[in-house]
Amino acid sequence: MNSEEDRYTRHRLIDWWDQERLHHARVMVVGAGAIGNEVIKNLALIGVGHLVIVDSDTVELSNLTRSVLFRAADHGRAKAEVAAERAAEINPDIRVRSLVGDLEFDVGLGVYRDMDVVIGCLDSVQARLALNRLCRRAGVPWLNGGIEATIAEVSLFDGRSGACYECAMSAAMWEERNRRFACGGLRAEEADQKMPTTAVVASIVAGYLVNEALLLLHAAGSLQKEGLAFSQKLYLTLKPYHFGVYDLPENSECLAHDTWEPIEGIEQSKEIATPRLLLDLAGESGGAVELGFDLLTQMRCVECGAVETVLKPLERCGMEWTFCPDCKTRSRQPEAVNWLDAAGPYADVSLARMGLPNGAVVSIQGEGTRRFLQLSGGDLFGEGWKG
Amino acid sequence: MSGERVVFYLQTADKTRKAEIVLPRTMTAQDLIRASTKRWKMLFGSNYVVTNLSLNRQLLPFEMLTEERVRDHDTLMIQPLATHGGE
Repeated sequence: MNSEEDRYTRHRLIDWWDQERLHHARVMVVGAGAIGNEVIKNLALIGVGHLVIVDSDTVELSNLTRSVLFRAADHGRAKAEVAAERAAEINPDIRVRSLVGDLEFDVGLGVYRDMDVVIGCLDSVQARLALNRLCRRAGVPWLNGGIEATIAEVSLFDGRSGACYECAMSAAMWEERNRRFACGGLRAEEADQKMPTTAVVASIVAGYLVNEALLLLHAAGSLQKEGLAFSQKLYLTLKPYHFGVYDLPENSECLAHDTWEPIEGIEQSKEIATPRLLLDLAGESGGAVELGFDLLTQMRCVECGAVETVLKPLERCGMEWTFCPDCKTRSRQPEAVNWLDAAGPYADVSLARMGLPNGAVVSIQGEGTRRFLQLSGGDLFGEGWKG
Repeated sequence: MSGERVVFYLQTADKTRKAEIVLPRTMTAQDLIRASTKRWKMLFGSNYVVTNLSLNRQLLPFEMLTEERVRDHDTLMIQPLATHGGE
């Protein structure tokens, strides 16, 4: 009996369990907070072979009441890195990769496309909306987990059809989401909201999330998926106990239902690719490159007329950008676009300069046509894996 | 009961508020949330959805309380969305 058989002997006693399938599985965990910690721990224990952990935050002492992978000595370190290290300690058989950054702007769509399932353990509606759109574009199923003090929910979304997270957005929720942005789309300053929560509710919801991931991974073979169906939500309260599974209806007018396929891989990296090069490559020199996000091109001062070229994703730029260094007033206004063409001023600027990550996918719009090109560099399964 | 109105049971997720109510079928889930959060002084700032427990189906915000979505004497629940990851 080799060491792997020793480690997974109890799993193999489960008649439907396929350890080999799990060993080859690729799962991304977005958010390494309380839920994410528990999810990562469980995925490592059960031997899911390839984990990608995405989080932009650092460990704080207040996380230690809920985060099983963190220690006081980790204070100030990147959550994704610490969680990846601990997951590799828990199970040296698995390969873990950490991505310290924003799920939308630092992780290429190509990375999402490589996953069998994405598990969202996020802290805001805004982050869920972004992940939902990315998974829909990539055509990858994703699980959403969320908690409050004594309530929890898990929902499962197909990356290609049916209801998505955005379908259920109400006008009030959009209003709240839009309060995060001010002045032409710049990020508004937010008060740091502290939410009441415990390790108990986080571990419960994480158990359901990983169970759903297990069922989904096994269902990729011949097994009928049990548990949640796509477009269903499990909702539970702990005080008093209540448990239900509900259908989530599809909103036919939802703007997030935009699967990008087929996606063609190209050899050009973000450092080499420019809008002109991509348009030429696609044979659409008169077309446009759709970035998939709003690009802040310039800040223009309405007081003194000074202009600064920026070229960053608009959502990454805060109100500090309104300050004009020339006239020392807060009078600058943003100018943004979500597409670029070969005739414009940024036709020969690299996509790296515009903030696109490795493995990003751009949409090329021609006359009545649309093609999707994936830049190189998004393969996380080559060099650099831990474990 | 006329087909223009529906009678149903409404409760909050924590079960601290319950009521049998009669409303026009033209009312939407979002209208119901707005009225309930005001009447029952529910936590301001949370996002809520309406779920029909009798049909195991969540309602979209703009959906009206039509016969296929809410039958007489169904039980509906106002549920806060759980939107945190626990930091």
